Order: sequence, then structure tokens, then C-alpha cells
Amino acid sequence: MDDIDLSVPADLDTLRARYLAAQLKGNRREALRLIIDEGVVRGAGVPELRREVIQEAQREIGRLWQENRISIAEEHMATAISQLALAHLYQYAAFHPSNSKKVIVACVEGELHDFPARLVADCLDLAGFEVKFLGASVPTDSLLSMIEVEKPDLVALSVTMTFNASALRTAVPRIRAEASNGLPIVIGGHACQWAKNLAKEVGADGVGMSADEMVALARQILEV
Amino acid sequence: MNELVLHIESTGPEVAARVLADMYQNPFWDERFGARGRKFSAEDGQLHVSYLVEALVAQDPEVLSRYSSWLQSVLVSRGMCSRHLAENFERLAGALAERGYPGIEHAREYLQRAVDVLRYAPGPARELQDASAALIPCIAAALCARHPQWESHWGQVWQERCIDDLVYLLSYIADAVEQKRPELFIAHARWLSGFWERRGIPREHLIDTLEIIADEVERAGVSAELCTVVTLLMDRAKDVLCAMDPGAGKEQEMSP
Repeated sequence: MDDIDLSVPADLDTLRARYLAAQLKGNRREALRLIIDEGVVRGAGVPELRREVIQEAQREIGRLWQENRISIAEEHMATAISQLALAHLYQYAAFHPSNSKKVIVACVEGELHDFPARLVADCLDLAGFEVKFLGASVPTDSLLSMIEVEKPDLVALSVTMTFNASALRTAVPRIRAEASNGLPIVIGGHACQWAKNLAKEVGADGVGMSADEMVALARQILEV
Repeated sequence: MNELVLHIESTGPEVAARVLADMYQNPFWDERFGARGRKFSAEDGQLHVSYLVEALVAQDPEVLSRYSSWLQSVLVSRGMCSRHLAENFERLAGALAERGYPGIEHAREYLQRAVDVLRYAPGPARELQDASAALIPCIAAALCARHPQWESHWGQVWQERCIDDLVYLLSYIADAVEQKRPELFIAHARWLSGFWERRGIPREHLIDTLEIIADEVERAGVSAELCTVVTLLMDRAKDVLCAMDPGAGKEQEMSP
């Protein structure tokens, strides 16, 4: 910390490039140091670091894999670093006061890409919601049990790969049929970009195309 | 539409397996990508069916088209060409059509659109894609004129294989041009020279083919940009082939 020039504010573009380089080398410590020492300590806000550095770096990681410039192992390694970075950022974030609303966030059964859902869970948490994050590939039966136990005010389901939309088509009607009456259900994830009518088709109450949009949607639906 | 979806879902694995078997009649696939490639190809075949189903359920062909466009960039960076993906969609359409499901024309329309999006946006790569149908017979004729002994040596099958090879070669070139990654084509040319040599076709055949491709592209009255980029690419590929050790160009597996 002694070496950090606090008079120079964080340059997020440069920080992202350096963070990405650390990710690709698998250098966890350097990646975290950059986020905290060069980001937080230099005055960058947690939401900006999450959005402009970590999330944008992940998009670049995805592009690099798509173009076969990095392997799937390298992509997993980089993503694991971002999961760790999000966890560390969490403790520096300013939490909004609790709004007493509970949200379950889960990836549908078969959906293994949980990073986007993790981002949503973190953002909702910081926005004052009580969040139960269930992670990747939650079996529908298990999701229903969790809804029964936790009695959330909102359920947010994530689907990244479009071929997992069938799991969404199973989960939403079952929640409607078997869970509390009128429980709002929102969806999000990359599949909602490819299948633009998915929310309407499954009868979801809304779709959030980013973590920030999901927070706004939750606030709107739950009137908080 | 629901009935069609149910039919495709229930027979999807069988249809995908049939498409895979057709694809693997070409020894190119096993030699180029090995057992791992076959596994990925099988998975991809199932995914094609899954995305087709999703598109039909959503009554939105763009679901399949977006998948096609995304997959194109994944596959061409891993040793395949756009034409390979187009063929798989065409095989799938054919295999489904044979079953005569009611409403199958929707599936065929969606698959055709998925093929159509593999045409690049306007630019040199698209220009080459559009010019390929006219270029191929000219290249084949020029090859035959330069080496009349090849046809007499290998027979009628040479003509047919020559045309097939040129279809793929031009697709690989267009992909490398679009991606601005000459190394994609050069890697393919390296491997192809070994593949042909193992079948008794000397490396000079491929070197000559690349030279004639550059000549015919220039003769075809295409844009100066396309002409330049193809000439440079063919020159680089020829240099690499000329510098290769004998027997080089073995199996290359797809990266994960």
C-alpha cells in the first residue's frame, strides 16, 4: 500500500488490461492486488470495478476462448480468479440498508455457467435484498424445496446456454403450480439475448439483461 | 409446430448420429481431429438438433442463426471451415426431410437460414464466398491444363475430388481473410499437404493449386483488396509448404 500513489485516480481501462493479463497468467495474487490496491484504494467504486474491470475482462476471456486463443482450462482458471475477485470486492462494498425482501437466485438445471448469476446475486445483496444464491445447475425439484423453505419474495433464474431453455420451461410452470401463489419470477442470462421472446414464452415476470437491470427489475416488481 | 418439435426431439439423437456417420465417411475427419474430434463432432451434432428445437419452440429462426454465427467463429479457429458447418446443417435438413414429419418445411427453412448467415458481411471474404462457385471450375480447368497427367493417373475420381477440395480450400481462405488470421489457412495447408502425400499426391500438387488459386482470383476481376489479400496468403502458404520437411503435416487435434 505504501507504493500506491493515492493522488492518481484509478484508470479503469488500464486496470482492466492489467487485470486480464494477470488472469491469463493465472496470477491470483496479482489479480487481487490490482483490484484492491489499484482499484478500491485509488477510489474506484465497487460497482465500477465489477462492471468495467471484472465483467469486461470476462467478456474478453470468452472472446479469446471463442477464437481459440486460450484453452478451456485457461478460461476456467481465469474465471475462477474473477470469482475470487468478486468475493474480495464484496467486503469493500457499501451495502444499502435491508429492504426486507428475499430473492432466490439460481441457474436452471443443467446450466453450469454460474458467473452471471453470481454477479446478480452480489448486486442484489448490496442493494439491500436478502439473497439466497444457489449456484449452478439447480435441479428443479431442489429449487422447489428451497422455495418452500425460504419463501422468497422473488425468484431469479439464470440461463446462459440456449439449449438449457427447456429446463426453464420446466421450472417456471412448476414454480407457478407448486410454489406460493403470485411469486414473481424473473429470468436472465445470455440465452435471453439469443431467444429474445423467452421471458414472454415461459411467462416470466421480467427479464434482466445485466446485473444492474436485474436489481432495477427486482426493485420495480417488489416496489422497494 | 408442437408436433414437429416432439418428432425432432424424440428422434434427434438418432438423426444426429446418422449425420455424423455421413460426415465421417470422409477420412479427413478422423485423420485431422482423431477420436477427440469425433467426440466433439457428436456433441455438436446433438447441439445442432437442440438449437433447432429451441428455435422451433420459440418460432424464431434467429435462435438457430445466432448459434450458427457464433459456432462459425468457434469452429474456423479450430481447424474447420465454414463450408463444413454449412454441410452439417444441410445434412441435418436432409435427414429430417427423409422422415417426412408434418411441418418439416419450417425446420428446413430455419436450417437454410442458419446456412445463409455463414456468408460474411460485405468485404473481401464475402466477395470470395460469392465468387467461389464461378472460380472453382476455372481453377480445376487450369490445374488440369497444367498437369494433364494427374487426371490420367488418378482417373475421373480426381476431377470430383479436385472440385470438393477446392470448395473447402476457398472456404478456408475466406475464413482466414475474414478473421484476419492467415495462420488459420497456413495451418490447414500444412496439414493438407501431409494428408494428400499419405494418399500419393505430391506436395507440388498443393503448391500448384495455391498458385493457380491466386492466378484465377486475379483473372476473375475481383476487387484489388481481395486480389491482394489472396495473393499474399497463397504466397505465404507456398513458402511454408516449400520449407516443410518431408512427411510433416500430421494429425492436428482441435484445441479444447
